Amino acid sequence: MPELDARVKNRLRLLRAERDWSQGELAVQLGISRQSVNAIETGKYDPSLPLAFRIADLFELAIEDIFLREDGGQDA
Amino acid sequence: MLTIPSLGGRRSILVWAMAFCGAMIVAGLVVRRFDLGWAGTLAVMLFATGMTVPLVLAIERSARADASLTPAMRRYNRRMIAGSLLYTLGLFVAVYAYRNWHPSGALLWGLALLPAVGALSMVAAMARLLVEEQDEYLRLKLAQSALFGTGVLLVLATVWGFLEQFRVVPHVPAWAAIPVFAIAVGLSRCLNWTRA
Repeated sequence: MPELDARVKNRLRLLRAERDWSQGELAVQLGISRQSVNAIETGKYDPSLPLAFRIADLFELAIEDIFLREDGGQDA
Repeated sequence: MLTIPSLGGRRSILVWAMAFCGAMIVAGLVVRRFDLGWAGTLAVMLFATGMTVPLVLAIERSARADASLTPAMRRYNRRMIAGSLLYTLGLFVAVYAYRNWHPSGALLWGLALLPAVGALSMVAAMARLLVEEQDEYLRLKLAQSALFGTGVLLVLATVWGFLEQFRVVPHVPAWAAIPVFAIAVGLSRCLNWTRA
């Protein structure tokens, strides 16, 4: 059985820093609150699939280039 | 209101929250102690309730500076202000009419339900916020706070109900459910602030 509560890590903070955006600026571009950006970056909240697609579109990357499984992608 | 204000914003919110609580207490004491007539009593009650306006504006200023004020939250704040003013007005009219006109029958039923209109409009505002909030993280936090409030209300109502049944504690009117729920939701959001 795959682990249902497998943790997801992300590179959002790094990608944002590369573009020199503040959390607030990223939030405005995504149409979400700064709190949400902070919660995603700190791993307190994993975004829904539609929001993950929006984030991927904004950075022009694939979702799996931003959101990574903590087990490194190994099947459980 | 679900926001994570900056420290300066928090101070401003705290000041206005204390002013609001102070105004409510003073208004309650003044209305009980002095005979202000119906116009004076209504003016004092509306002034105290109106103190929610600067409090909400301080919260919104802080949230806007923090890029956390969503359109749904803004609408919720307006609805809650309107609801609290409607509640105050309804309560005043109901109490005044009950004391002075001694109504009975259908009119008494209508008057007794009048304060509930404002209170229920605030419950509706909470429900609409949950439906209208587009920010999925904030919506999750709202839902968590509402569940926490419901849980606290169920626990307190059950425990108090049995204590009351055995005459250990005095009777508490059922309308207390809304303030108890609101306080528990507020407490939950304060805990979210400290964790953020």
